[in-house]
Amino acid sequence: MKRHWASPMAWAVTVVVALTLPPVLNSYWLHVLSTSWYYAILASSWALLAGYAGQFSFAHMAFAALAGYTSGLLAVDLHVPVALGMLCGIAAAALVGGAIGWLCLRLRGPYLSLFTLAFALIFQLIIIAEYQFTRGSLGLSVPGLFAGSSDVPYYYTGFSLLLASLAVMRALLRSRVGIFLRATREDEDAAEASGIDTSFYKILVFTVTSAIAGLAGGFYGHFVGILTPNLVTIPEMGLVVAMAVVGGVESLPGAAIGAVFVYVLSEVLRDTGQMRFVVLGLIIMLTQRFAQNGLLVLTVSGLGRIARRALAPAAAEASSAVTDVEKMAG
Amino acid sequence: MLVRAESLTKRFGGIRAVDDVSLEVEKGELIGLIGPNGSGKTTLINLMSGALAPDHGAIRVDGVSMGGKAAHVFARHGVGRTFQIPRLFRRMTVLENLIAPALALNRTRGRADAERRALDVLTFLRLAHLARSEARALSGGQQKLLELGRALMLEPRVLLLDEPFAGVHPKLLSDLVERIEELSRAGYTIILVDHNLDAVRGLVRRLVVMARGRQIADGVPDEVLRHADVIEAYTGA
Amino acid sequence: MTEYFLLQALNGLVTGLIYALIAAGLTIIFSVLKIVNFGHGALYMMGGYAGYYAIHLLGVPPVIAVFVAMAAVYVLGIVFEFLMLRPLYSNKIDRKDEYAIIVTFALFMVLENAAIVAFGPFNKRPPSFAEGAVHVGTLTITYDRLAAAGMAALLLIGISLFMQRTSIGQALDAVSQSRDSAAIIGIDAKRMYAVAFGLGAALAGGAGALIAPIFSLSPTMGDLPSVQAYVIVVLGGMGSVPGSIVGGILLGIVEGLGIGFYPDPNRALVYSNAFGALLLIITLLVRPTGLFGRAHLRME
Repeated sequence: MKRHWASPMAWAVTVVVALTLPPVLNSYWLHVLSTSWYYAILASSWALLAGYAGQFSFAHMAFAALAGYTSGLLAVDLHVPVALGMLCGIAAAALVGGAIGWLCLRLRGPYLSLFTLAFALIFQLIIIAEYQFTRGSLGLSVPGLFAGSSDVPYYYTGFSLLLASLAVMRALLRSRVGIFLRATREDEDAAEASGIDTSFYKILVFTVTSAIAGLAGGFYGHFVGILTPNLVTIPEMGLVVAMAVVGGVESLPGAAIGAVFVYVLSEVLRDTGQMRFVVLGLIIMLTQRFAQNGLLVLTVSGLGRIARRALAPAAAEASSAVTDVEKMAG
Repeated sequence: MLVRAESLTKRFGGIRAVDDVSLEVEKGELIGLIGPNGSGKTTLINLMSGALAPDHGAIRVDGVSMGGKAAHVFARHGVGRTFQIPRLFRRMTVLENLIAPALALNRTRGRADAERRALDVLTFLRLAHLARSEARALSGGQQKLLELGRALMLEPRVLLLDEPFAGVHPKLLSDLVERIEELSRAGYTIILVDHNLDAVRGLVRRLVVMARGRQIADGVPDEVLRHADVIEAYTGA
Repeated sequence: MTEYFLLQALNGLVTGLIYALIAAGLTIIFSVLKIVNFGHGALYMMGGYAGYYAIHLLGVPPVIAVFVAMAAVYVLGIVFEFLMLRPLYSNKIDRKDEYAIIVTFALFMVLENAAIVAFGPFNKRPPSFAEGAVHVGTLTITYDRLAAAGMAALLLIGISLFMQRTSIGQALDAVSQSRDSAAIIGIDAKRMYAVAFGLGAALAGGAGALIAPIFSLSPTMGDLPSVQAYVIVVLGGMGSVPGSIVGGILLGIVEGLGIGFYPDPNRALVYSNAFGALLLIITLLVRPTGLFGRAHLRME
């Protein structure tokens, strides 16, 4: 299991492309991509929690929604400035996320999934039921992060937040925490016998990923301007799972790219109605069945082979960079 | 007195897997722990490494009371153990398997230092050439050695080896025995559980025998193996 | 007043038997394949629609339609197992627990959304098993409920006997304990996996067909009952059919009584859905491996 992140070249190209896109896009696609940053942050943080650390939580959306609602309610009811509200939202998500991580300590595999699924359901129902507080299914209108109606600042903010989250998660994984998480995931008892405080790290990874989900939720709320219980539904969680799985559940950038790909695809297919979720579900199944490490990894290794054949006499650097990325498939 | 286990008892449902077992281990001893299947040897190892909490009894390691603490606390306090069936971090490299405990101990000065120590251990185990291989690519015997290495990275005060010889190819078996002998000569305190009586009795100077959760003999191998209770435990019901 | 609660309890018994049926299917799948089927609720839903269309397209009488539905969902289960779950038995898949969770979840996604597309999002109600109701004192119970409860009970007894007395049932039990040992005595484990998944699916499908005349059909009807099923299976023990039966009936009755108790009607309805989820959380906190069943076993 080699954790090779793509070469700096690939990163640079992607970032440059992303930064220069807005002028070329019409407002509809600008909005779509800006929204896809939200999903990318969720998918990559979920990939860290579930793929890397092995905690298959279905509560991820609940933390995003918790932060969104916290920030939104603070802004609407107490006139707290949006940025501060988002910070409070992140703190709330981190706190509850850590608590859930603590409660889940003794739960393994599907039991953890069931527990978090139940939690998400209860959370959603509370939002619906306590409508005097949350405006329930009608939705809570919240102020935007920026004045004006253009999506451009949101696009750049969302993308920056995505890069920042990926950077934070990468730093975490490259530290000893990364080794401890992987060891815990490989064999928890052996990890304990090796001196690793698995409980601490499990709670830590829940706290960190919930905080990042909270960041995404806060951003989304103040971008789209309205919060509804639909944020927490099982189909929404399924969408994020699809994104991570398709991109590569053990690769954070893979999950992020998978998120953009899947969300754009679901928008392209928007006219087909619910059919797009059928398509997504089938894509998940095919990906898992034939490329468990994710399509991104498969594509990259495929492209790598093509590139090497085409560039055989040329740049040694290019092919070694590609080999690095290809190792992700190994 | 390096390790003192007093009146350890562990029940599973109605069965006493470990029944009032006491054991005193001096620094530098090499002790064999044997007994028929189901006698409670592995459970005792689990109790002494913190993997299980005893229902009764106490454990002291180097004077410190370890009652009820988590397994990782035992490990950090110097109790290294291996498992009956190797439980490695299968998709991590051999090197990563070894630096994990070193980093957990937090006594090294960063990753490079941990890697250096890991390579030393790998050299000792004659596995250095496999450093970058995934753990799951190793043969059974190599995996057992790797587990031993992982325990060594804890700078252990005591090593609890659970059936290190089980299922090991005869050729690697002698390697394994040699490594354990070298460790003992270097002063490590070792408790060895195994079924392979020949390998064990040639190796240890003290033999503890368990049957049905209880300790039925404790002494010099030749005498212990002639003890009536021991013979009955192995040939009887 | 007590009559009201008695009625709620009786209704709860009916839904409890249905829950038990769904849970029994889930627990059989877990017992043999060692996976939690996150698509189970959708199979329940498909059974409901299968029964509906058996009546409307094939002209089958309602009671027979239940069996047609079970057969249809059985086939659906076998097909899914063959296409998607086979890799679990080889060593091609690295992370088996994860694979099973994702793939069965995807099944749920596919089936539920395909149902919305194919059957439309609006409720449909198949014809009753038998029109009318029976009156006992001041209590009224529709024949539909009686029929559903009766058939569910029969199916539950049937599946229990099947598991214990028939050779296939015993083969399933053997495979659930040890795939390798079962192979040694000549049992084709792969066939048993298929049978187990198909059977589990069929039970869920049957439950859907039974409840359709009472509560009507919608593509999302499987969402909440699946949570109830998880609750029951965790309560009764993963892999224990008797546990599912007891747990299902208990949950149904308690839920029925609970709805009667909550003061605020608006919130009561919403929170009644949370009840099962809350119970699941509490059970998992207290007993991480459920109350009665065997501890979670990894895929061999």
